[in-house]
Order: sequence, then C-alpha cells, then structure tokens
Amino acid sequence: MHPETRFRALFDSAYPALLRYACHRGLTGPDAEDLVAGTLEIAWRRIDEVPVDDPLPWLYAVARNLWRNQLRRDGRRRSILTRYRASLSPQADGDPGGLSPGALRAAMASLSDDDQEVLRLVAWDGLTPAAVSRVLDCTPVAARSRLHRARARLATALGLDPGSQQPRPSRHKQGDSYRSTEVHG
Amino acid sequence: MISLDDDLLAALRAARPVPETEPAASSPEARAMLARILGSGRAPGEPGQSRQPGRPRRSRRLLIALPAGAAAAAAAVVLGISLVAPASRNAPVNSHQGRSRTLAATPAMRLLASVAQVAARQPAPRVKDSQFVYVATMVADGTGAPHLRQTWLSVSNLCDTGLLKEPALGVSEPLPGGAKCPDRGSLGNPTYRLLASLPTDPHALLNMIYAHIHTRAGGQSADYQAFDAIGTLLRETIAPPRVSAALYQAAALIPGVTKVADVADATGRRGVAVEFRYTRPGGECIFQNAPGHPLPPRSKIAARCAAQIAKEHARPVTETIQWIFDKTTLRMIGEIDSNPGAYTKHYETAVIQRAVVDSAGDMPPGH
Repeated sequence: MHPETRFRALFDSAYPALLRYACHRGLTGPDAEDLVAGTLEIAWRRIDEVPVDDPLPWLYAVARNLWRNQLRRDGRRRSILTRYRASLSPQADGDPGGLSPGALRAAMASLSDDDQEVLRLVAWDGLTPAAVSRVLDCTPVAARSRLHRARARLATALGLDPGSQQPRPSRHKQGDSYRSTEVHG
Repeated sequence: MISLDDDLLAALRAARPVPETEPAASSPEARAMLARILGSGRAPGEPGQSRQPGRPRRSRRLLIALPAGAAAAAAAVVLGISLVAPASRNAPVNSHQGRSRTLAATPAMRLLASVAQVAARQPAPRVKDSQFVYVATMVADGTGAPHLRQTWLSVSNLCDTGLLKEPALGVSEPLPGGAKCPDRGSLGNPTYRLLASLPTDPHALLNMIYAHIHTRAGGQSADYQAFDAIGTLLRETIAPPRVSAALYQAAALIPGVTKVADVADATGRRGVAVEFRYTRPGGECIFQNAPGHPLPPRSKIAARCAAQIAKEHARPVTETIQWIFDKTTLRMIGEIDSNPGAYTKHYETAVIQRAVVDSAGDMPPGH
C-alpha cells in the first residue's frame, strides 16, 4: 500500500484514540492536540515501523514518551502527573464510602506514576496486558505483574482489601498508615 | 491472576475522564492536522526538522469555523495572522504601542529594566554544540524540605540525551528527546541554540511569545501564559546575554506585572520579585501525595476535594508566579509558583548554579 494511503487510514483510526489517550492523562484543548499531532507526525515519518495489525500500542508508546519528556522538562508542572479533575457527581457527594469517580481518581493520584500508567492503559485506554507490554517495553509477564501490583495498591489506597473489593475493618487506620511509593518524574 | 473485568478495574474504567466532545477524525481540527502533517514536505524515513522557533500554535477557534476542505490552505493564513494579531483581549501589539511610551513607568517595569541591563552586561558564555547546559536548583513543592534538582540539557540538539537527577525523589533518568532530529527545541523546551536564535528586540520577542501561546476558553489569560512562557525560557536554561535582557524587557511589557519588595526563595534567600497574579474560576481539585508522607484516608481526600471544589466554585482562585532577584546583583535567584487552590500550595525553586559542561552528568569545575 502506498505510504500516504496507509497513513491516512492510520490517522482516521488513531486520531480519536490518541485524543482520548491525551484526555486520560489530563490534557485538554491545544495541549491534547499537540500531543496527538506530535505522535502522528512521528508515525508519518516512521510509517514503515508502525505495526500494521495493531498500531495503537506503538502509537501510545510514542505519545507516552512525548508526554513524559515534556513533563520532565517542565519541572514546575510536575504535579500534572497526578492532577485530575474530580467531579462533583451525586455519587461523590452522597456516597463517600463507595467507589465514586472522585474517590477513585483521588486514589489513583496517590499512586506512583508507573502504577497510574499501567492502570490507565488497561482501564482507560482499553489495552490488554500484552499490548501494555509493547507500550511499556517490557514482557507481557512483567506487564501482568505490574498491573497486579498497581491494582493492589489502588485497592489499598481506597481502603479495600487488595484481594477483594471488601472494605477492611480498620480501613481508615489503614489509610492513615499508607505510604505512597516513590514518585517518578 | 487479575481478571481485566474485575469490579475494581470496571469501576476505574467508569471513572475515566471523558472528552468534552467525542473526538472524530472527520472534524475540521483533525483534517487540518492531517493536511499539516502530510504537507510538511517530509517524506517517510526522512529525518525531521525542528519546529521553527516561535512558530505559533494553531488557532483552534478559527480552524473550527473552516470547512474541512479549506482548512489546510487556510491554516497558513491563520498562522500568518496570529503572528501579528495574537488572540488576546490585551493584544500585545496594542499593548506595546500603548505602553512603550510609558516604559519604566511602574516599579515592576523599572525593576525589570534594571535586571535586563545587568543581564545584558554578563559575559557571553562560550559554548560548543556538543556541550550541555547544567543547572542545579533547590526545589520545594510544599510537601517537604527543599531538595536538589539537577538537569543537563544539550546546547544544540535534544536528540543528544540529557539527564535529570532528583536524588530525594529517587530520580536519575536520561532526558531523551528529539522526536525530530536534530531538534534544537521549541519555546516550550528550549536549548541554548534555540534561545540564541530569538529576537533581541523585546517587542518582536513578545509578539512571538504571544503567538506561541494559546488562549483557552475559560482558561488562563494570554498575559498570564505569556509571563509563564517567558519563565519557561528562563528556567533551567542559559541564554546569551542579549536574549536574557530581551526576555526581561519583554516581560516588562506584559500588562499586570507588579513588583514585590521582599520575597524569600526556596532556600530562604531574600530578594526582590516581580509577580503576575491571575484569578481563574475555581472547580479543580488537585491532590498530590508526597513520597514518604502518609496518605489521608480516602474518605478524607474525597471530603476535602468536594469541599475544595465547592469552595472554589463559590470563590475564584488566584494563582501567582513570582521571579525573585538578588537585591544587590539583580540576578534571578529563584521562582515561586503559588496555587492557593491546590493541596500543594507552592512550587519554589532556588537557582544554585548554571554552567556549561562537556557531557551529561559532568559537574562544573570546582565540584
């Protein structure tokens, strides 16, 4: 297939997915568009390297590098790594003990960037552990293992038993004593 | 083994942020983006060219109004227009014309004029393309004692991998860059060579900066973003003396910059500062946990977030950026970014050292 024809098809399928990817990382408006454009520019230049069958993990890996490089460089904005809009949904107000979106995002924000990323890739970007391994450049076994650990830490941050979704009897004390893992820049 | 469909991950999936509008590859923005990429003149396999310094970001608002077929051709027109007509209520062209007659009229403008004079008199560093700019700062993010942050960034090409060290955070990572090699950076991520290419006329420089930034609907003002953008060009960088001077002179032209007589940096050094204060609508809850610090119970986080958002909705939030200068030497010694609405109230830096070294990881002589 002609490179331009192939890129046009890739663009049409990847553009919405990449914009959602950016949105899932707290980027909106021009910032999100810049990340999408930067990623697709690289895909155009390296179109022969983009996997034909399943291009999204390759694109997400490029987008992840672009995003992280900018965050690293702009140290003052480090907190964007853990910044989320918390919604004022009735759930969040009415049921602070439940798994409300606000509580989930706050718990996510308490995790290390690596933990957040593996959870985002699976739960928000919809990737399988095998696809996650291609984004994070690790083996599928390692990706599953990282997902397992990240999920357990998320459960702990929510005051839940990591093996189930049941609240621990002393969850508030557990929350108090929880210490975050290292934050990676 | 985790099931990808377990309840916790399903709940997390339901909590994902959702774009305000469903993204579509058929949208005018998408078609303009596609045309821009294909029209870049770069064939697959060719090394990319660095983005031209000061190349303005596309005006999303204007492009939306374009029919899809006309978007590509019109994009160039939009870019041209935005160079001279930035999307700001306080358009800098008008602001310059209005304010240039009263230059040095306010204490902040007088201070920045003096700072620029001092900067212009500094000796020009001798740099080679193969070298790296080293900057050491002490950083306090409001969650603990200030810690050391060291960056090494290529003088000329982001593809030459740099280095970031923040031992207190366990960070020692390469700074790979150069999506398009060679890449001398952009206004948001400048190398020394990019800074050296900037205009030394403050009006031209400020026009370039206003064209680079983007006014967001309901977001920060263009003037705030311009001040912030100049801060990015001054932060963790070294620039030729004339460019440094022009950056301070350009900042003086931004409406709303004020002087603060006495401010302490992250290490307690006292100085004089210029400040830009911006008031935005509330509504964002920011939570950042610090390494080694206990996490509050979830219910407390949720309650604090809800209370914070409710409070912010009722009352706008003021954010400030301060650049701090030594009162005697008038050299920039630090920066404070204050966001009263956030759990992390401040991000403070104190510049310890700036130097040019041969390799990423090298320390300047004397260390």
